[in-house]
Amino acid sequence: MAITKETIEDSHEIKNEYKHIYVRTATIIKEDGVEISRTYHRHVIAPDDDTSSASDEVKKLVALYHTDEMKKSWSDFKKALADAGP
Amino acid sequence: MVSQLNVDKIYNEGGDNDSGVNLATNDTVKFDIAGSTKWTLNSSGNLFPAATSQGICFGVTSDTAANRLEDYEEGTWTPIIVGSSSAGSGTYSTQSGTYTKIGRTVTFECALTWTNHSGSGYIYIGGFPFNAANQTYYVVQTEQISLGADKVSFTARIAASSNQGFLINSPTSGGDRAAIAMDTTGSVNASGTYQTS
Repeated sequence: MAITKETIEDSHEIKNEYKHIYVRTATIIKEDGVEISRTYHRHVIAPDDDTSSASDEVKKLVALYHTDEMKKSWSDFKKALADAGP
Repeated sequence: MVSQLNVDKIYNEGGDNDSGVNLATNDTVKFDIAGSTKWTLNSSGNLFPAATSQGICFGVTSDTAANRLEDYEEGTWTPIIVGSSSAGSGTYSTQSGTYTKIGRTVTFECALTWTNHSGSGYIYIGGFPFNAANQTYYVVQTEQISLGADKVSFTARIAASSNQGFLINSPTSGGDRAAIAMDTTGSVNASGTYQTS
C-alpha cells in the first residue's frame, strides 16, 4: 500500500476590473494511485503583489494581465479606499 | 445479458417501495440527455454535474439563476497584516484561516498573532480567499494593539473589489469609527460572512 501526497494549483480565475488572480491549491492524498483525500487552500493575487515565488502558470497570468496600466489603476483604487477611511 | 435496453418509460406498478436502479458491480451511473452526460453518480454515491455552471434549483419549478446552487467549497486561507501605506511584513506565531463558500456567500474565520511588522499607515487585515463584492464589516477580537485612550476595537472591514481592509476602532463614548495605526505587534481573531461576485 503506497500513500502519496501531491500539491497542485488546480484552478486559476481572473476576477474583476483589476484582474485579480484567484489561485486554488489542492493537496491530494492517494492510496495506490486512488485519490482518498483532497483539501483546498486559496489566495488572491492583486496587481501589486510580489509574485517572484509564484508558479510559472501564475507568472504567465501576471505578465498577461498585470500590466503597468493595471497596476496604476489598482494603486489609484487602493489609495481612494485608504483616503475614504474605514 | 442485454447490453442496452431502449424504452420510453419504466413503470413500477407494484408499489412496494423498492424501485430503483441496481448495479451489481462497482460502477457509475450516468444521466444523459441527447447523448450528452449531464450528471454522474459515482460508485461512492456522490453526484457530479458535467459542468460547474450546473446546479440544483430550490424553490422553483423552472431553471432560475437566483435559485440555482452551483458552488460549494471549503478550505483554508492565510490571513496577513498589511500596512495601508507600505505593506511591510511581519513574523507570525499564529496565522490560520478557514472558509466555506456556498454560492456567492463566503463564511470565514481567522487568527493572527504578529511581531516585528515593518508596515506603515493603518492596519489592514488581508489575504482573504475571495474578493468582496461590496464593503462588508465583520467581527474581530484584538489584543496587544495600541488603540489609543477610550477606544475599543471589535470590527473590521473588507473593501469592495478587494480581499483586504481596515481594522477599526471606535470611541467608547460614541463618535466616528476610525482606522487603527499600524502596530508592530498584535493579535486578532475574527469571523464573518461576505458576498463575493
